[in-house]
Parts: sequence; structure tokens; C-alpha cells
Amino acid sequence: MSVELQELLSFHRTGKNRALKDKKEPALKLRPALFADYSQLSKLRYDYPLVLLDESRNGDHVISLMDLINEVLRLVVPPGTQGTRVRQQVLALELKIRELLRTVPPSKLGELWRRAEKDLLAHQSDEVAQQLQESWDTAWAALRVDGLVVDCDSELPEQFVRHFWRCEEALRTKRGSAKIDRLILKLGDILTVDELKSESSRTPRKLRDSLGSRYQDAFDFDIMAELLNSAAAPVRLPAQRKKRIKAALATLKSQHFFKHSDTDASAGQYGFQYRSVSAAMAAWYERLPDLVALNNAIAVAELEIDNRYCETRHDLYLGRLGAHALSPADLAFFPSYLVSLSERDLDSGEQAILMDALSSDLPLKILLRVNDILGSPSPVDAQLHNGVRGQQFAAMTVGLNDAFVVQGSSSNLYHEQAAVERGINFGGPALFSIYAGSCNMPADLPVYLSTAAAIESRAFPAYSYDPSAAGGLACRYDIEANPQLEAQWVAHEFIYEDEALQRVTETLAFTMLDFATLDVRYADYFADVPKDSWHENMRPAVEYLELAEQERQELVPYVVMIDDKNCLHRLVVDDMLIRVAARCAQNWDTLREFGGINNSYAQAAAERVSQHMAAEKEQALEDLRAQLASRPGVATSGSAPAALAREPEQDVASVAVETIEPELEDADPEGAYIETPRCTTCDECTARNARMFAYDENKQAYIADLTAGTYRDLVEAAENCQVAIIHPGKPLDPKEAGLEDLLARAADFS
Amino acid sequence: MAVRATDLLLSSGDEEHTLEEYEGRMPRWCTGCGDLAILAAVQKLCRDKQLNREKVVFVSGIGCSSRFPHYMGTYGFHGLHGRALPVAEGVKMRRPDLDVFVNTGDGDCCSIGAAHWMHATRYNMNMTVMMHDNNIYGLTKKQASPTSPKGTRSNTTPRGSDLDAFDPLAATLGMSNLSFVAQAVDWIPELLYKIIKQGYEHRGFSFIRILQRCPEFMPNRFEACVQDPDKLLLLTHKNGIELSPGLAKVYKNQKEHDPLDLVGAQEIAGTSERVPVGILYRNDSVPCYEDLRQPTELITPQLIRKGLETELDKFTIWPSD
Repeated sequence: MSVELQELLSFHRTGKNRALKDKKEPALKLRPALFADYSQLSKLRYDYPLVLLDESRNGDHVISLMDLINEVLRLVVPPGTQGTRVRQQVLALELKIRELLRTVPPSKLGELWRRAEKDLLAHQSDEVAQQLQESWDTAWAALRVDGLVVDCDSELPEQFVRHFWRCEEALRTKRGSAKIDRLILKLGDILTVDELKSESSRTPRKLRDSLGSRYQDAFDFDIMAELLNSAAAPVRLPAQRKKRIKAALATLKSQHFFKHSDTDASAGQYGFQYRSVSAAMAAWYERLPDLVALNNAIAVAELEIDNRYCETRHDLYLGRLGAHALSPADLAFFPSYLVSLSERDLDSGEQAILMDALSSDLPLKILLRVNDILGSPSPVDAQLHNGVRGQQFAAMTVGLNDAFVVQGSSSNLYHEQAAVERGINFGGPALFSIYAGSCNMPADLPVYLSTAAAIESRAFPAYSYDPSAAGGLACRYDIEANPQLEAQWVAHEFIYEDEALQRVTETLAFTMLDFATLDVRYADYFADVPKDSWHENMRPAVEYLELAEQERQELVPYVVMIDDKNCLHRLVVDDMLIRVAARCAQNWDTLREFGGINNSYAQAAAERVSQHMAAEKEQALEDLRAQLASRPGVATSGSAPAALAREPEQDVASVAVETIEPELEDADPEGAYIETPRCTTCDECTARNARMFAYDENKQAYIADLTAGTYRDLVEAAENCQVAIIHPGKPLDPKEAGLEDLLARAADFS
Repeated sequence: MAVRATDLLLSSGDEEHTLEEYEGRMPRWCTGCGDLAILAAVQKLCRDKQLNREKVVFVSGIGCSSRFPHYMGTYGFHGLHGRALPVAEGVKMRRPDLDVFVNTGDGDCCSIGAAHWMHATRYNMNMTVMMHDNNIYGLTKKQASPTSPKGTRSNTTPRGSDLDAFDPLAATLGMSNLSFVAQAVDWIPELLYKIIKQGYEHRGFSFIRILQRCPEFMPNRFEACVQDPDKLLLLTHKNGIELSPGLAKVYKNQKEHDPLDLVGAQEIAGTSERVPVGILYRNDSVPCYEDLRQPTELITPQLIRKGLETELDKFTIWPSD
């Protein structure tokens, strides 16, 4: 073994090699090679910044600036040369807005648009300025939306989730307020109508006031009052019902969960945004009696308005409907609570409260900003967090199986907006665990890149878990937001020039090790190997990870990096990080299996079925061969003739179950009967003899009592039946007068 | 998801409505009248759907069939001749929570109320309209109606009517914004019930023409059809009416017809060989007028007062300074 290889191996296996460390490039100046195309992010068009729309459009609460500009360009850009010019002018404005975002305080799109226009026009001639202004005015007129513009930074998770929560809560509150106002109005109407029936409403003065002034002289209101009061007293509301309606009305009017239409915005309303779970829980329990009272008042109001409140049945229930009886359907009507947390601020007590809250049925929407995925390297060797620290809350919450979970990063929130919306609208608790970038990353590394790296490297895979989704585990997990789902690691094409200035194309995987190179705390776990020391036993880490332990002997894993001059470097990786990366890959496999990809149980079952079918098929072929062989004159061969080898087709006709409706039981030809289902309720027979003929529960005729009339009644009913469905049968009394004639007439209906 | 408190209370032993609860006054139609079969089918529907009686309104115009609301144990409005539909539209517009049924006759609907019928079809408000078509004015003792066959002798046409009968099915199938058209006959109760039920379940303007026997003034009008099943053509489809085995055995003339096929429906309505029975057309995607015109805010007395004052202020003459 060469000295160079020994040096590399010693670092890889022990993490210690002074000679190698001294030769290395300062780690922080290096970036994963796949970052090469993203050195000037602000010059690129990509899905950030986002516009948090003031007013939702087609159900969307947010749109990316790029999508918005593309949409506008499709609408307003004319074809031809003129179109190219306008397109370039609008895109220049978009670029300026991206630049401004880094220097101006958070602003709305309209403000940024005007500011960008002003900056770009500052040094233009009048003629050019006029052209530019015309293009931008046309584009702005087509925009028709406005809203806060936010970039992908550490504040984005909170801004994004809060915006969705506000939009959805605004809809919920609007529906709730409208419902409560309607109930108040309807209950008020019931009381008003009852009041109008009172004697006090029939006094001469009340009657005069109700008429208006113009014709007052034409009436004698004293006599009118006397006349009205002398009439029978109108039916009034029972006292108990009136009391119940008034109580419900008072509760509806004094509630603080929703805005009343006749009050100022938010006056006296409860707030629902918190910075700690314990504060949110405290508020929840403090308001619980009010919530129960309002919920019961709504139930009473709805029943009273529909006139379906039954004291004998409902009083008993209503008196017992407490907090324990609140169902998710009840709670879905009320506003949810938004709690914004930062993972680093959670002490053990708050963590316990958080898990307690997530295991409840309460409508808590918890945003957890994750700032540290890998965790600090432990002071004790070989005791790393193994790259799962940041995922622990989401994983634990999934284990509760009652809460909606969204895990993602700032960079992919735009693509996970549907999951965020479903989580906000979920009936129970929801956790949004969002990686927002870390202070352990280089300061000049854009948050978009570091958070996208977390997803791409599988260090923090994106997924949502919806416990209410029907159809098994794979339906509850949604992992579609991850790139290259089928692959263990995400791989991209990487093009560079070699020393001979020739174009070289390679496929580079982006692993959890690449992500770890960005974390300053892990700088000592990598060693930069000068190019003159590169050895043939060095292997890309992604290849090394796939090797068995015995195949790894005398091999050294490395990751490819670039420096600020875009020169390639190789970093040898400490074996401890290789173990962390292997665990990261296992976690990704588990998640994929949950999401329905490479499900081990399904694969094993499919394999068993496949083997069983193959065995059966082989057996069938063997039987056929044996049959053929037993026939005289047929030569046996190794394989069956093609016609016989084909799977026997099932004769559908022979196996189809013939469904024959059971025949109706034949009526007794001797006895009288009616084909009741054909009766048209024409009253002919019942009008003739209402005791002999009657209607059933469907109001169709049957013979109720054959002895309640004569055979003549039967025959005449049969003759008059519009649809001839009465069959008189044989007479009960053989001595009835005129029987011979009647039997002859009845023969037509036998 | 568990139920809301209101539903929990309602489920605590809610009483089941019987058919008798939907009965109103004793019907005063002639014995043997087809209206009785329609009444029985509708009462059965109300019972099967367990409709709350105070949430159901039957609206009618004038004629034999228009006595229908009196015989239902629900709310009702016995209106003016030809005006059942505008009244029903008003009810539905103001109280969309109510189940609205309309009973009208061939004279009421196709003559004096024809314009209302055309526009009600176009408005597509969610209601079930039953046109009892006995081909004659019965209440006023036999005058020819628009649907009377050519040659009908009546008090107004003693030498026989001169014109071919008006075809309500073909007319409806040519109207705008159509959403549900069916034809039933009063003498096949199972089919009558199924068609009215589908009309009720359809969200929109369900127009059901029901051929109805009048034993007093048109005693033989439908006799041939009653006695001979071959005179009928039953329309079947998995999205329309599916026949029971017993009915399928008796009525051999069947045609599979997709209710979404408007051209096919017009073709069926245009043929006079056999009387089609079943769902001719149904389109669930046509919007209802009451939904399009739903108020965006709660109509409170204060809002009405404010609106009125705004309007009246336009005519106020303010004193000059």
C-alpha cells in the first residue's frame, strides 16, 4: 500500500491526519459541485419570490412572481418583434424587483413595481422612457393582483403558513359570522311574531304607530284595539320555549369567536395566534365553557328555527352536552389556533406540551421552524445524532396517528401549498415542520440553496401525512414533493472542462454528505485532497455507500466540490459520516415504503403469487404433456404444442351467474286477490266496500276482509277496476243469489 | 367524522313520519281519476324521503289537478289560473330551503300559463313540476285543452277540435337551459313513483308530464294504452329508470336511452308510434337560478330599510338653501 493511500485511509477511518488537514483548502470556500450553476441566484428566474395574494384568486392564496409575470406576458405580449421588445422590458422589471427585495423592507408588489420602474427609468431618454412605461403599464393592468412579496429566507415559513391560515380562517370566520347572524335574525323573528300577538301590541297607540301618519284620521284605533282584543286570544309561544329561545339568542349575541355584522372589526373578538403551545392551550381551556355554550346555543337555534325542538327528548340531551361531547364536526365550525414555534426555543417542558397538544383533537395548527437538521457533532466520538434530529418532531407526530403532518423546507413550500392548505383545514391538530435554513451554514449561502439542498440530499425529505385519508398507509403519506422518487439519491448531469479544455459530462449524485459539507460544524469530517494526491482507490461517496463492507477495503470515499474559482476538489469523508449517510438512506427507503414505493410486504406477496402461478402453470403443462403422451401415435416433446401451452381461456358464459329474479308466489286460483303493486289508488273498490277493500301503507288496495261483503261486491269491483287487477276467485258462499251469472262474469278476471 | 350537536339531538329518537301524516283533506276528485294515483305516489315519496311537512310547499294553479295542495298535509298555495310557476319561483327564491312541488294541468300549463312555463324552464329553479295531462278541461266540465287530440268533441268544440294536439314534451325539449324532462303514466304506479322520485332528487327544474286518465270526460282517451302494454315504450338506462323484473316482463317495448342525449330525447318525443315513458333528458350541470341570485349578505330589516331609504331619497325634493 502506497504512503499516499495510507494517508487517505487513515483520515477516512480515524478522522485524524494532520498532514492531510494541513494541505487542505479552507473548507468554507468550497461548495458542492452541483452548486456551480447557482452562484448568482438573483440573476436567475426561479419560483421565488412569492406574492402572498391580498385576495385569493381561483382558490390560490399565493403565486410565484415568475409564474405571475409569465401569465401576464402570455396575455399582453403581441406576436413578432414588438412582442420580443415588450417581453424583454417586462423581464427587466422583474429582475429589478428581485434585486430590490434584498435592499428594501418587505413591500407589496405594487410598491416594488413602481420603485423598480423609477429606478430603471432614471437614466433613460424621454423616448425610451415612454416606451418602457407603456409596456409596464400594459403589464401592470393585466396583473390584477397585489400582495406582499416574500423571498425565500428564514422568515418565509412563518409568513407562508400564517398567510394560508389567515386566508382559510377568513373564509371560516365569514361563514361562521353569517351563520350566527342568520340564527340571531331568525330567532328574533320568532320572538317578534310572538310579541305582535300580545295585548301590549294591540293598544290604540301601537296600532296607530303601525299605520303611518297619512291615513290615521280615517280609523278609530280605540275601537280597533277593543275589537282585536275581544277576539280569541292568539296562540302564544310556551313560556319554556320562549325562555329557551331568549337564552340561545343571548349566547349568540355575546359570543367572541366570530365578528358580528353590526360591530366594528375584531371588537371584543378572541385572538387565535400564539407563540407558545402552553399559551394556546391555556386560552383554549379558558374559552372552552364559552365554546360549549355557543355550540349548544347553535344547536338549539337550528332546532327552534326548524320547529324541531322536542322538550321531552332534547332537554335531557342538551343538559348533558358538555366539553366531552364536542365532536370534530362541531369544532370544525370554530376558528383554529395558530402557534408559531422555533425548534431551538423548545425546552423539554414545552416539547412535552407540544406532543400532548398534537395528540389531542384540538384544532391547533403548529408551525415548527427547524433550524438544525444534523445536530451538533457530539463531544463523545461515534455519538452523532445521525442526521435525524430535525425530523424527530414530525416523525413522532406521525406516530400519534391523529395529527396532520407536513414536513418540508422553505425552498419547496410553494410546491407543497396544497398540503399546507389541507393541514390548515384538517379538523384536528396539524404540525408544519419546515426547515428554514441554519445559522451553521455559510452566511453568504442563500437560504433557498441550503433549504433546497436539505430536500435534494434526502437529509430532510418532504412529505405530508393525512390521518383522515382513506385507503391505507400509502394514501396517508404523500412524498411526491421529493425529486427523483424512484432513486436512492438525487442525481444530475454535471458538465465541466478538463485540463485539456475538453468538455466532460458526468452524473453526480447529491447526497447527505454534500449537505453536511455546508455545515461549519462538520468541517473537520472532510479533508481536501490536493489534486496531485488523488489516488486510484478514491471512490465517489455514492458508489462507496453501495459497496459491501468487505468490498470497501482500501477504498476511500470522496465528494466533489468546487471552489470560488470553479475549480474541482475532492474531499475525503470521515467514516463516521459515511455511517450517518447510510442511515439517511435507510430513512429515505422507509419513507418511500410508507409512501407506497418498494413496499416490502407487497413485493413479497407479489413474489409469492408469481411463484404460485408459475408452479400451477407448469403443473398444467405437465398434465397436458402426460395426456398427450398417453395418446397413441402422438410424439412427446419437451414442450407442449402452442395451442396447448396457451392459458386456457375462461368461458365467461359458462361461469356467469345467471341472475333470475324469484317469481312472485303464484296466487291461489281459487281465492280472491288483488295485484296490489299495480293499484292506481283510484278509489273505485274502496268506495264500493270500504271494509272489504282497504289501502296498505303505500296507499294501494288489498282485500282486507273477504267476509265483509258478497261475491257480487267482488265481481262488480273487478269489473269497475280501472286497471283490471281485482281477481274474484271462487265464492265463499255457494248459496249466494245469482251465483251462476256472477261466476260467468268473474271468469273474465280469473 | 362525528356528527354535529344539532344532528346528535335530531338523532335522539326522531319520530318517523307515516304516509298518513302527509294526507290533507279527503280528495274530491272523481272515483277512478288518475290524479288519485299521482297523489298516492307523491305521499309515498314524502314518507320515503321523510320530508319535514313544514318544509314542503305544493303550489298549483286552477283546474282539477290544482286541488292537489288541499290534499297534502303540508304547506300549499292554490293560486291563479296559469300562475303556479311564478308563485313557486317566488317561494323558492325567498326560501331555497323549502322543497317546492308544482301541480299544474294541461290547460293551466300549456295554455294560459305557457309563457311562465317557458321561462321557468329557462330559470331552472330547483322544484318538481308535475303536469297532470288528461287532455281536457275537467273542472269546468269538458272543454278542449291544448293537448286534446284533433277531433275531440267538447263544449267548446261541439263538432270536434280542429287542430292537432300540442305536444308538451317536444315543446319542453326545445326550451333553453333545460335540465330535466320525463313522462309518466298514472296507471303504472311503480314507474310513476320512480319517475317522480328521480325528478325530486334532480337538483333543478324537473318537468314531469303525467298522462292522466279522466274517467268522467275523456273515459276512453288512454284505455288502449292501459289495456295494451305494447302501446308504451319504456325508456331505461342505468342513469335513468331501471325496471323491476315483473314490469320488464309485462312491458316488452323497451329502449335504452341515455338521459344526457338531448337529440335522442327529441327524436323519441317526436315519434307518435308509441307513448314514451321514462326520463327523456337530465343534465345535472345546469346552474339553478336561485344559486346564481343568492344574496351576498344577510337580508336583515336594517338592510331592507337602508335600501328603501336609498331608493326613496332619489325622489326626495330637498329644500333649497
